[in-house]
Amino acid sequence: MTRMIMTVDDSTSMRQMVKATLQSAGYGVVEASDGQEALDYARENTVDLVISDVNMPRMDGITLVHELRTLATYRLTPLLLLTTESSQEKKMEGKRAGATGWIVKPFNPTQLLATLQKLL
Amino acid sequence: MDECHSNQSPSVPLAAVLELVAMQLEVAMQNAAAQAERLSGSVAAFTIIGARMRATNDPKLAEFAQSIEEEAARAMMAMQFHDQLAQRVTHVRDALGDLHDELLAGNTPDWNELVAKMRAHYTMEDERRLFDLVMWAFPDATGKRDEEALQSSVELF
Repeated sequence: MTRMIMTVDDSTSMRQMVKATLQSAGYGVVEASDGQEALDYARENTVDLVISDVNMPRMDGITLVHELRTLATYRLTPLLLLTTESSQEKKMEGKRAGATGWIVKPFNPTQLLATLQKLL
Repeated sequence: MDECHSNQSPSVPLAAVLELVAMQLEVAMQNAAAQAERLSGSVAAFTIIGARMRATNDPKLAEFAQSIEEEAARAMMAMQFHDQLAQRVTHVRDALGDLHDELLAGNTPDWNELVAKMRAHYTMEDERRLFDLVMWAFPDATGKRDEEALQSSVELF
């Protein structure tokens, strides 16, 4: 069965590149352009992993992680934050919210796929 | 044009200049975003083409597929600098916006408070270091781009 991954980013070009990387490895992909759209989707559907940007309009990635962890179906789902933010403080904020990992942009497609293999 | 804002406090024309800068940055970002989306769409398409060629299990095609996928991966990493650039420009625009609002309100700003508010817009480590170097002349700050900022990093908690 195809593993489904949700990519959340307000940048269309970032979503395009993450999506192509995931599809090239056989994953199914759902896109959301901000945290709120992602959360609305997650309330009605289940995905196997979420890759989210941090700074986005309407709902940021850390709030999204926090909200997803309150949903029973997402308690154990790997949630990765993919961001230009590299400060330790922000990283710890993500960890406290329940994120599984922190990836600093630019992402390396090979490294990203290797990380997903470890988590799925 | 000559009379523009001439009878007003100097902070009013200064605020207008800041607003103009913000608008020009916005237009430049919007124009660049459309082209960047086109380019990233093409890079994404090459990635998928490479994967499909690999899936045929034809040895000759697989060799081509590997080259295509490697080139696409390199292009993909390079393309992400547009995203970084857009964020850097947004941070500058938002920081200038704080100064603009203070000038327009006619307040005498608490400089330390205003600088701290402007600094909060910067989310990248090298942006903060450059800001500190220029605004506070921090001795350990450096204007050089950190090599780490150019590389991807993955940390699992």
